[in-house]
Amino acid sequence: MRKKIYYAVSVILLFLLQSSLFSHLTVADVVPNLLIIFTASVATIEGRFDGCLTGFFSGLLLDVTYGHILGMYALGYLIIGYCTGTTNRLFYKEDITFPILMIAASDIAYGIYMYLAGFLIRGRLDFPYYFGHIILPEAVYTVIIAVFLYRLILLVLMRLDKE
Amino acid sequence: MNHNRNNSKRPRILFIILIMICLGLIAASVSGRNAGSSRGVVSLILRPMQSGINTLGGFVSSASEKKKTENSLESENENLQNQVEELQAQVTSLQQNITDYNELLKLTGLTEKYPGYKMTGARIIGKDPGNWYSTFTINKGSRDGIKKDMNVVAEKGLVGIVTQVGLTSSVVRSIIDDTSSVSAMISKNYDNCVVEGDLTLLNKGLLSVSMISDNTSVVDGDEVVTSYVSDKYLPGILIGYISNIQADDTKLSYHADLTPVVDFQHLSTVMVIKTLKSDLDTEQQSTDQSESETQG
Repeated sequence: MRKKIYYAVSVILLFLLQSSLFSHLTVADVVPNLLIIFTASVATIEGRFDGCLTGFFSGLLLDVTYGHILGMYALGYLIIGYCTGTTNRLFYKEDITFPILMIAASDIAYGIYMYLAGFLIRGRLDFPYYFGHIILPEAVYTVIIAVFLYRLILLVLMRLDKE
Repeated sequence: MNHNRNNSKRPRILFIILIMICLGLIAASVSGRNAGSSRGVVSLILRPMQSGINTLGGFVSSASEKKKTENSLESENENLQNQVEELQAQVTSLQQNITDYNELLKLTGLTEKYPGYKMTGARIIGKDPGNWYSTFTINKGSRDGIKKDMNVVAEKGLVGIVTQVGLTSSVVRSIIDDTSSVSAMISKNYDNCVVEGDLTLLNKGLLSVSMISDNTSVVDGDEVVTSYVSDKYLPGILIGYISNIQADDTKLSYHADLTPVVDFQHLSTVMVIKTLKSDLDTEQQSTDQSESETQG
């Protein structure tokens, strides 16, 4: 239960940071994707079940605030939460390389999903441009933030497990 | 760990249920069902937090900006002194132009358009948290009389349109958003065209203009304003200036780039025009009717 509260508070806090503070801190015109970091981190640490939950509710929050089509973000984050959750047993929690790789992969997958769901269907065909100017820079920035944020998320989750 | 029990089954069932919910929501919102009420509640809760954090963000970015500017100020000062002299000469010639322009405006009756609209100021308190869309939240909602489809302008020109309204905040889609398209016209010859946001042009600060008709006299630097035929945008609001005109592959029409007059990077306050295009149209109709009645 305490964990669920922790998830909810984190998702809302990260969403607010991302929509307010980080829009002032853009690098190469992109903002990092904090909610993807959180979803992928929780999924790799806790497994598919928790990954699904955090992913779904992160996406839903985006949908009701900024979404074009309700459910679009929720579906993307949900799939990412589930898929990264399957790797939960493959690594030691303390090893940071693997989760960071998963976060990078998640963010790129999310970028491709956004392109397919929002841009390709409207006839925007220049995928290399979107990949080079938005998906890749966002992934790099996200990974840099993730190096710090993942440790923090792990620390809190391990403490909650102990109690 | 109690999670280990049935661990292969439970998440999969949850996953499938949640996917169903997502698809249901997508289907509902594509088919046009209104999700306004749920959005309103969420935005009502988030708004105070969002505006608080945004103030912090503005403070951080202005602090870093301040340092940057201090260094470049000295060299800038020199350049500016030179420019002032140049500009003063220009101003005098422009003032002459303005008096001419005002007289022409009186002739066409365009002056009544802008001041006639009721406007209200609003502060931007949040931006779309991703990199794909250019929407933002303002701190006014239905309680302040904001309605969907109201036009949003900054001092110089068109910014966007209200797409979602909560009780105390609303979401505005700016014209640089990739999904935005505005029915516009070249102000000098009333040629119709369409101004669309394009993510591939965004980092150059440009928009794309398409559907300029074939036999047009449009040249670089021409002014583009919202058109009379648009059903959501009020007519005559300045959008920007045209450049880089090229013929389409079909040679039947032209497309071009457009430099918006609004600086979208540093936008912090906007004005919402409280007059809706649909209201304007009905008003027009009623006056037309009364006119024809008096004539008859």
